[in-house]
Amino acid sequence: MVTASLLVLQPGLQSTIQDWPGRIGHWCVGIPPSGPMDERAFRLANGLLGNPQGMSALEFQLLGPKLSAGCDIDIAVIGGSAPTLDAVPFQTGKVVTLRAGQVLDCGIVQRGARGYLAVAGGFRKELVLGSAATFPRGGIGGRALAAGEALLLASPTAGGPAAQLPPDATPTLDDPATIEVTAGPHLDWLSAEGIATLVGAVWTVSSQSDRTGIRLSGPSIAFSKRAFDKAPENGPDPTNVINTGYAVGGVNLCGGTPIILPVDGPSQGGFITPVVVPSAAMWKVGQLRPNRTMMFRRVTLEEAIAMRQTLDATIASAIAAAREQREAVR
Amino acid sequence: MDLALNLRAIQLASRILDERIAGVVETLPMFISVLIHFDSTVIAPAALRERVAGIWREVRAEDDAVVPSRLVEMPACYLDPWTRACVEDYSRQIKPIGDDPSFVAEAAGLPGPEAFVRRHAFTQHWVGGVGFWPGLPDMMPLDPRCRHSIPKYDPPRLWTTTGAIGVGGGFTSIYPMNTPGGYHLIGRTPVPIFSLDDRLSAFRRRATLFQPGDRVKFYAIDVDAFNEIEAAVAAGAYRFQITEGELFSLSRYRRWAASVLEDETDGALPW
Repeated sequence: MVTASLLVLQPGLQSTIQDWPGRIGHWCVGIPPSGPMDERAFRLANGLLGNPQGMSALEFQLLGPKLSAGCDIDIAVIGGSAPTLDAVPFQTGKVVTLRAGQVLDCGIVQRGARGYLAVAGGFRKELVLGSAATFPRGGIGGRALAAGEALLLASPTAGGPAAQLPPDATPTLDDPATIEVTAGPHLDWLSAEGIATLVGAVWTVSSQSDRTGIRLSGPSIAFSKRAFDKAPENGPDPTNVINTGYAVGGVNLCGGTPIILPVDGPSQGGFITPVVVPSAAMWKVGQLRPNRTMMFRRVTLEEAIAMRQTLDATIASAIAAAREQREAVR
Repeated sequence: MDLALNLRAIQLASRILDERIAGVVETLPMFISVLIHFDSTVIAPAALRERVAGIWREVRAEDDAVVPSRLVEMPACYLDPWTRACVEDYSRQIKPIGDDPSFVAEAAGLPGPEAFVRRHAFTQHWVGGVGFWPGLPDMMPLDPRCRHSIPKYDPPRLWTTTGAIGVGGGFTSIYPMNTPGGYHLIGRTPVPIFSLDDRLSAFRRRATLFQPGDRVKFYAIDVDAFNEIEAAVAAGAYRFQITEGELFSLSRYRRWAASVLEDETDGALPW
């Protein structure tokens, strides 16, 4: 019997094992990086346990899985859910020891869209193209969890140092949430008015959103002459362009629908990309819940790069603060 | 799509990689653009832009565009039962439509499906870009007499047979896995274009078969041959038909394309 595992009693919704930064270097042939939708929560969950920040951990959306432990293991849950251990609620953002036979319910995500479960030592999962990340739509690195499946643990340890994140380490998004964007390759395909609408309007997150695309609904957008005065091979719609590479974080306009392309998105296509969400703001996109609202905010390329440095530093200091907590407990 | 610009994009993408610029992760040439994936904590965008502008000046200054181009021969079971079933399913579930090959032949102004697929197998197809789904190629016919412009599905299909060969706009594509899709289906290949099975020689270095700048030649097979090849693939024993080491020159291509158009004589087309 395999004991160094977690048995899936209920899979939750689209729960997948991911690592960070995922499957890098295959975008050029259409294989997405995958990895966590909320890099920030994912890295914090691993950091709490003393794992490398990118180690394999579990992502769940809206409804977390219910798992039974085959051995003792330290875990951390991060995200807006109310997890329980043998039906007793416990706090997210701290190290908890799961004993063999106990049942962990990651709970319903009430705040944001996604939660993370990290385990001490990570999961044992075959690497595909160098990564344990899961691209469920393409079946690369497996699929979403299924009931009855055993999640193998790489090197489980229990009774490690206590650690707890500072309360401000996992912020709640405002409603509307603010998502930064830089100018994309086709910003000049929108008229000045169109740009003001895209960046100024409040957008509603569609329920037709997943790891391949976050769809938004809102006002219609006005185009510039550039979107009409083009060779016919670009296609008939003002948002059509000769197929071109997409960036992760690119905001496509598909007819009237803006779509933010997350870590499982397509690598290329025939729609314009007026603006791009910087990588350091994508964690917020990962927490956009269907029917909640959001607004874009223009930033410069320099600001976007500074945001990346700030995010990395914030994660590092939150983990360091959690370590200090360990000292205090000891 | 402008083939000259596509060749320049393929050249630029490959030269950027040749320079081994620290921070550059990969390049994605797609038709007439190149996407560069880089780490902004290693190289600043302005510095990279300058390096790329220099490489682009060099590439553009060359009189002829010449790129390495492999020839990949792909068996195609045209007018096959599997994609027909897929289209019939769409017709039942989504919207009543006729069969795809008849629609395509009519859109192309040809007498029937057989004429269309004969012409499709006659020309080589140029891979102008790869992606959207893992390994999916966007291919245009190289023989100017074999070009087509085919409307796409509206609304798109919810699923497509793995290995289905579809045509849409001026292009041909192959579905690497069961995915939604919008191209009309004219056949199916038993040869995988995306695979994690490294017993198959083509997938030892990469999980995908095609790269931009490849040429693809389809040849017609029947259902029995399809099943045989499918079994060889499953056993890890299929031998890919890939000719390496050939160069594709834009100027030579243009001379050839002009000559075949001149040669065209009444009613004596070769397909």
